[in-house]
Amino acid sequence: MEVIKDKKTKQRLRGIIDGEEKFRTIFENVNDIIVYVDKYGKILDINKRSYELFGRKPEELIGKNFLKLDLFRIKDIPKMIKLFKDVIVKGKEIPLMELEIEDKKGKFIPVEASTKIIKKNGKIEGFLTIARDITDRKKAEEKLKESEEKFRNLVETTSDWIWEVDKNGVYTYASPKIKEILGYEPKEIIGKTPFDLMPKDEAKKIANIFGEIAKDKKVFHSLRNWNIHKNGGKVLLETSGVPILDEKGNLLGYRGIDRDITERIIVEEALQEAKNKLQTYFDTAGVIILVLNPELKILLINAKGCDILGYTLNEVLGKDWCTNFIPKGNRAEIKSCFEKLITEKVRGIQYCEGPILTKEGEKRFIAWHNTLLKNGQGQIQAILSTGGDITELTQAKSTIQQLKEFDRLKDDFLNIATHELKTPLTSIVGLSEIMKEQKSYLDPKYKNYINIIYEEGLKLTHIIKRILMVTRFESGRETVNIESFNLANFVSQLLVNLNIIANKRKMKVVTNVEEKSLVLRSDKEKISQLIYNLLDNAIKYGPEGQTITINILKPEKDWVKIEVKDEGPGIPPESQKKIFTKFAQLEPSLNRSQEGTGLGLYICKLIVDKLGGTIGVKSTLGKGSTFYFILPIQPKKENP
Amino acid sequence: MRILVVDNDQNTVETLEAAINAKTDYKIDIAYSGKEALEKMKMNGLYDLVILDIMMPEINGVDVCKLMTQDEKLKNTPVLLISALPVTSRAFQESLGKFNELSVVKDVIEKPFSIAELLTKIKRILGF
Repeated sequence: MEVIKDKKTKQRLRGIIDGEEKFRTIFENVNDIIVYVDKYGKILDINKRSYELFGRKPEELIGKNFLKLDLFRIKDIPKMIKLFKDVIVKGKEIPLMELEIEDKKGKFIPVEASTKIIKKNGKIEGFLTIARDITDRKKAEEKLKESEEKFRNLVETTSDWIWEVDKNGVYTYASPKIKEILGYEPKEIIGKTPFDLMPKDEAKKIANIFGEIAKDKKVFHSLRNWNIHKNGGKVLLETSGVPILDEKGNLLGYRGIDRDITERIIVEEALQEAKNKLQTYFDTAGVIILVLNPELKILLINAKGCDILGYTLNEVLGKDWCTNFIPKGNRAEIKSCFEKLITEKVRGIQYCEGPILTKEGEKRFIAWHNTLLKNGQGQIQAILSTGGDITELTQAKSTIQQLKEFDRLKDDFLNIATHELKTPLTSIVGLSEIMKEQKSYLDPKYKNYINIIYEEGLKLTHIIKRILMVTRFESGRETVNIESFNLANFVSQLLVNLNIIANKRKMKVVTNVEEKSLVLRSDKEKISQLIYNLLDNAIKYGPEGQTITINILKPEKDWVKIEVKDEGPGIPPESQKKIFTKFAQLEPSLNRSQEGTGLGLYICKLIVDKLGGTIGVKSTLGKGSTFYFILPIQPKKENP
Repeated sequence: MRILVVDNDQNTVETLEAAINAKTDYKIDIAYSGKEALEKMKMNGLYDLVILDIMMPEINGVDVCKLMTQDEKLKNTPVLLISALPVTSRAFQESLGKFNELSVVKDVIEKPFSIAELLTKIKRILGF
């Protein structure tokens, strides 16, 4: 061993040794493959990491040609040979190479190899190659490629248009969908701004809005804007975007999507219009229209409904119907009503009546028609109810019920009155009649008294009978007893009695019959009453000595007219109309010269109506009156 | 001729009695209830006519007629009914339907009635 004495040389040598050691340490411990080959490819040196990786001993590698060691994929070998040739023959530099090498387990590992040419005196001595495992990088690259692919697919297949603008709002990217939406090729759009595609006013408006958004670098959603299609048509876009920022947070631009909502808006507007129209019908309806969901919450109610309830629409929507708007006592009943409908125990339209509770706390009675609303699959969507306010009707019904009750009481009273009044009259009239006809030695004065009792008793009887008769007619409890009879004969039978009455006032009654053989089907009793009543009036109001004529006129078609003609004072025209009404008398009641109930002619009218005929009067003041009634020869309903 | 007058109202009974007595020489018996009437008819032998009020407490006039119709001895005794209900009223007409089934009822007279009317009806039933 040569002894080095010179200190400087010693130091330099130490430096070299130190450098050599340092290099060796790095060479052996680095995680990369380091291999040094001569210009023929023979391995001169190789680091520890390499033989660990290849699973071979250093002596198996050193001195061997690296290309013949089966360390590479076969396809890579010609490439490498050509590379070396190029380097040696043409003097080229060796670029970075990506290769795959086979490890001890037979797995190929991607590596990136950088090779340095080692020269000595200008001649190629060998090559130093450092190869780094790039498995992770490769994987990452693969992933990136995959996701890029994915996004590309998305961008190109989505129905939305995807774009990017720079910080000046100029398009830097436009996906191909733009062609479908606005008619432009992507390349026609690049360099333009979104505002170039809008009508002027719209551009101004949107520029203002977008300016605010971009100022704060905000994300924005569904910004609606009108654009002009290349063909001139208007297109409504809905734009959403996110800002693109650099690492310092400076705005680089925006990236986003545009969706064509023109069609949707047209449909929406049409729907809205239809809905508005429906709402108008809905609100002008005079009944409550109520839509409940199956949980009985209010989905919809019209103006009338709100009006009756006394709430505004917003106070009502979404509320539970039963708990809020039905009186406590009726809730269970109403719920079971709806349940029957929902479970379809009641089919079609359900009718129910019940109270609702207004905001004021008042109950209103509503008549409801409920039905189910189903979708196409037959599932129950909602309950549709229409309700009419029958509060007044309900009250009226109860009033009618009360009135019926009163009417029944009145009937009961009348029946009792009939019996209780008529029974004593039987004795008064009967006994006074017997007494006045008795040949007795009674003082004429008393005889006169008895006569008065008899006359007054008769009058009273007469009044009671008339009042009862009117009541019976008015309540429909008077019956008609139809029989066939010869009218002329019947009237001439009456004539005897009529003359007895008339003679008392020195009057006479005559008949004038135009059709003697006429057979009438009617109620004899009632016709006789008619004639009696008319005659009674003629006698009452006519002058002494007058002649009263009963005319039976020649029948016309199915009708016969009977007249009672007097020679009385006549009836003023204004009175002729009301003469057949109840309690009508020509003179005011306080100074009336003639007594009576005012029911005589009214009863006549009731009778004629009942018999299906008409009654009337012809009269001229000072020239007498002619009362007439026209009756069907056969009762109308009996006709075939 | 023997006539049975039946009414729970005493004054009416007396009026009827006076009226008949004044105009005829018929012999008159009186009953103040339906029950008494039926007893008298059974006890006193056959009457030529029964003048019978409809409205009476307990056994009313219609019931009396029914029982008479069902009785072999009494079913041929004629009856003149007295009614306070108007003859033209529906209530009366409906009852009349029943009377028609009651063969004993020959006629009806409505209160209050004139003596002349009463006697006319009596005579018609008795066949004079």
